[in-house]
Amino acid sequence: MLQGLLDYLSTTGFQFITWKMVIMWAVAGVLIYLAVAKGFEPLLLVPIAFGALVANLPTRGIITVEQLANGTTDSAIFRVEATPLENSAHAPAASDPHAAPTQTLKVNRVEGGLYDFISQGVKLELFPPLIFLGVGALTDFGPLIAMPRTLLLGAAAQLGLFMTFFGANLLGFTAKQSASIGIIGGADGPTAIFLSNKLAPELLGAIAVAAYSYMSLVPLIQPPIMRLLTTKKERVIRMQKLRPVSKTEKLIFAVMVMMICILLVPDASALIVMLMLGNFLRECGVTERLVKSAQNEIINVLTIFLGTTVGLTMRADNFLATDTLKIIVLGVVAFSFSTAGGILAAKLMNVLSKNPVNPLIGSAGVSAVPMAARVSHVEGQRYDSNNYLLMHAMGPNVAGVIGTAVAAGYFLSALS
Amino acid sequence: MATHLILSPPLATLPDYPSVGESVLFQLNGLIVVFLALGSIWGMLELMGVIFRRSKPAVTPPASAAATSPAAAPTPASTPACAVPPEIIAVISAAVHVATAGQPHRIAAIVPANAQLDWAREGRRTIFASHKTR
Repeated sequence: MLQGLLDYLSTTGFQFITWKMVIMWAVAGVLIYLAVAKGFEPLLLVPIAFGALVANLPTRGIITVEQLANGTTDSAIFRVEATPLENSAHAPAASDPHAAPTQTLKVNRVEGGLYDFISQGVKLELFPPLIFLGVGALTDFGPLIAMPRTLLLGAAAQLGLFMTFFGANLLGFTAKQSASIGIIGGADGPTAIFLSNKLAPELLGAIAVAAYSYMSLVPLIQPPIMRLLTTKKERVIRMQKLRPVSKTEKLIFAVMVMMICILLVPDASALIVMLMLGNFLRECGVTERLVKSAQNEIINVLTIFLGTTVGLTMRADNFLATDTLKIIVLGVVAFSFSTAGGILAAKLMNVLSKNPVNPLIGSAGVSAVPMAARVSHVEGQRYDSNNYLLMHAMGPNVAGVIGTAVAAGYFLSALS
Repeated sequence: MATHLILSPPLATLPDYPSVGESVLFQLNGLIVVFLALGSIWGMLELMGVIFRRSKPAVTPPASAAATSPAAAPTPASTPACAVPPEIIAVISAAVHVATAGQPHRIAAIVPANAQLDWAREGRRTIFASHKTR
């Protein structure tokens, strides 16, 4: 009987626990605390933290991880059982004599854990564009169409991405890794995941955690920079009322933006197409059921899968490294520069234009919809309680989403 | 070198560890691309705005479109086809009066909620409410 118990104990997971795993349990605990008790981006941080906890438990049937020859780990490995089909062997093509011979197989069975399959949504770049479908369905581009010059604020707020690229490179990261870290400054989680999965998948967990953590800290990070770069007189500038925007304008906007962005940055197609498809569905007014799905079921289901998949990449072996600390620091640098870029561009606009812009709305150029716009509004009301900046700030805010997607496309076309 | 980097797409040739000069030019290129894309959209929107403002017919607001505070209740004629019974209008007007603490206010319209949109609206509200401004 004792032997039976000992045999059973040898099958349990206790023997696989390491001190690094215990540290990661604490990290996951902190993330869960921030999300649940403090309300920091709970929709994403809860699944990410839960995934991180699961990644550092000796699970079976969840996700398969293998140590590669270069010392890194790769997740989502499948075991495929297949039968060669008769007469299916193909010799290498004459044009490429070095290519390996191929053979057609009949797949009988594919074995993998639950997340070996689900995480293909990230590996194959499916989840971020599909989340953009929901984002598009949730976004009203009306304020941007009514005041299109705020697009420049969204563009200027991408300054942090490129500045951080430079800093990350100086700190020893490769160009691909630096671009993936820089995109944190765009404050756009799906885009950060999309880009880092393509350019630096080994940093995906740290980048996603940094991006979503800082997005939740926008109300703490941005106000000091906003106050530092603006005068009291600038903060109380009242802006002209936005003109009403017709449905036709919104529909043309969705199609034209998609075409312009694809023509200029084809690598951003997946994100831009889905964003504008979601928005077109929303604005056309005849696809209410589809909009409902995009705004609710699709985005919610994918958020659960995306969050947990990203969390599952936070294995102790990968995450507990000095690189993670560097990414955390560089992330806040990226955010700060992006905020500053938007504010300074608004100030420059005031110098060049007779129609003044409240520089506080410049900080909203860092995507993070709609929180960054709300921060601009709240900060403006601190100095003039009757100044309503929210809708004005939504212009650069949604422009930031497009700007970050374009920047990601640029990084992809340049580096992949 | 600088001209080469800005004018042609040699971006794929950026080494893993670029020099400071290469890195700065890479960033400059990126900012130009972003400004070009968003600037093009700006131009397109300005053009669209001009066209739509020109083609928009002058609209004169109907005299009975809304009721004005302090007697804020809209007249029955202001509601389409008298869809909302007068007693409901009175109740809503009283509620608005209480909610605004007697401040001057104006009820522009009383429209039945569109049940088709409720789920979408609730989803939007939930997602927006999850981003807490502290």
